[in-house]
Amino acid sequence: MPDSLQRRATIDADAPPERSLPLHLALAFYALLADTIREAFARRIVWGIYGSTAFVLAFLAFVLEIDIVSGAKATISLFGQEAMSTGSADRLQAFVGYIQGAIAAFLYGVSTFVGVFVCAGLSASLFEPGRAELLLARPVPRGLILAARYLGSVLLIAANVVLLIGGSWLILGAKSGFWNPQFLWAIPVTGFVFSVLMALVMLVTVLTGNSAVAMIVTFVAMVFSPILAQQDLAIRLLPSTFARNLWKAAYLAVPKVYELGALLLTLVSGEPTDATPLLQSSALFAAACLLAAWLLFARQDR
Amino acid sequence: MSTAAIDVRNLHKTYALPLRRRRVEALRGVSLTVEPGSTFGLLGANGAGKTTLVKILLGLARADAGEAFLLGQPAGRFQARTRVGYLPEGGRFPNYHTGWSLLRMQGQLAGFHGSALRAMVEEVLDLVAMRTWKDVRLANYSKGMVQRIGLAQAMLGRPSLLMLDEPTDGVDPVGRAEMREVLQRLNDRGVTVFLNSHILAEVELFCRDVAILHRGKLRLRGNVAELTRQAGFRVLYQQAGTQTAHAAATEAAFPDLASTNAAIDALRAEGKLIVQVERCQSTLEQVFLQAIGGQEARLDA
Repeated sequence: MPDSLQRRATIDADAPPERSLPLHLALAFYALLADTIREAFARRIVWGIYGSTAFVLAFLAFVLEIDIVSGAKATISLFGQEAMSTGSADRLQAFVGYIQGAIAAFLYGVSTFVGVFVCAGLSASLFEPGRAELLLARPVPRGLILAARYLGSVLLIAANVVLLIGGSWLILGAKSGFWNPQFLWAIPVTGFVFSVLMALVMLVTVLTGNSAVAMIVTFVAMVFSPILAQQDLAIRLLPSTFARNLWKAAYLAVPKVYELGALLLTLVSGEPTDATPLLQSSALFAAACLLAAWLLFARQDR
Repeated sequence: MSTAAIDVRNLHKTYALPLRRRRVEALRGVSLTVEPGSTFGLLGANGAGKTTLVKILLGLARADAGEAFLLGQPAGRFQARTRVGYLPEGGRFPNYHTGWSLLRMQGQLAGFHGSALRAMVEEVLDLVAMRTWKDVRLANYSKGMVQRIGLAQAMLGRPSLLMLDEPTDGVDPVGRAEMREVLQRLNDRGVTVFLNSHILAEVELFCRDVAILHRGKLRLRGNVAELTRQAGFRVLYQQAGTQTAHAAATEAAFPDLASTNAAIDALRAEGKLIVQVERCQSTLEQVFLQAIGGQEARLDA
């Protein structure tokens, strides 16, 4: 090499200082996570989700009135008009429990559906040509990029669930004096179901790079969940052992959205239940999806 | 261990197109060395394999065979990527970012934080003259401004090697000159600049060395000045008494200095006026077209 070039090559006084790898990875993960949240809030639909939550909370706070007379008789009013008069505090508790159950069930269905709709777009944007290269050329492991996108999406939806469930629990509790801690089960259960579905979204997005395909596959899994859950009926009706085994295999392969929804209602109503096998199999499904997504992404040519 | 900024040895890469049941050989035994501190241009028609080569060097794609080293490290290695700045062609910078937030995020990915990060972002914003636009969202930037921010993000982390894919795409002539100046300043500090561009005039102005890829093979590699220099001299002359210079000038080429001088003497003896004498020079475009097989190859590409 010519001397002049050698000299110029070694003049690198501004070279970055050595940094510890864990600190570097932590900073990179934070940056990627913040980028996911920033991108999400650049989409109007996310403001729509949080706006709807604010609307529901405002409705419970300012429109729904619960007046309890001497702890025995209670009236429930909407917009200042009496909607219901209960003969006892027990009936009031049942009514509040009914509202909470409705909120939990509605949130479970709508939040996961809308969450998949929004977050499939978020994960697919990562794979847009010209954009992926910008991230992959940086000294950041591919798995970290994928993990930040996944966790950012889950946090986005989980935060909304916490806001709606926690907020309505506080408002209803303060107004009725009935503090039902079982209602708070809606937070981990809904968050868990969304994280399982999001794992499937990530896998399909890595495979296809297409948010529409990821959404369709996930919605199909959600739709087939209650059908596949009818195992007793299927075993009675299906003609061959092969068909019955196929049904069972499909049941095991698809995330158990329907059963987890039923579990949520059982938990909110305070009835005892053993959810361990259901949670284990769904967590296993999510872990398998994420592992496959990571392995594929790590080996993909961009 | 290689001491070159880029060292590529017998690199092969084939892409399978399953739906068309075809295989495309993007790189066919490419070997190339780029000296540290140099300005290097990689030229080639569309589909020549330039982007594939860059992607392999950055670890975005894997080679089927051969070796590639970046700053002495195997290509794609974490340590190598800490010292490389990259501007992809048609980089889709997320338009929900402002210039500042994009650079801040990219700086964090490069491993910087706190006051060092802030200082570096401000420095690169000044280098590309975008400080006044730093709080404006990228959605409101012109194409040239987006390219400037792209160049700024490539410069974050004070890289030893800059790999720029069509950096002046969409930038006006004044902006191009400014970008060239910025790159020259970085090169003067020892940064190797690797340029991948279709604008041959741009490469000719900035790069010291070039390589020409065609259909996955390296066709030519050399110093720009040497490649464009031809043997011989060109003489322009006209009849005495012609009013306007060059108006009716005739051109003649001679292979060496002695024959040129002899020819000039003869022309003067005949009463001709010598308008201009210059060393023969071809453009990089001529060199490029010749290297890839002329017009036919260009049309094929």
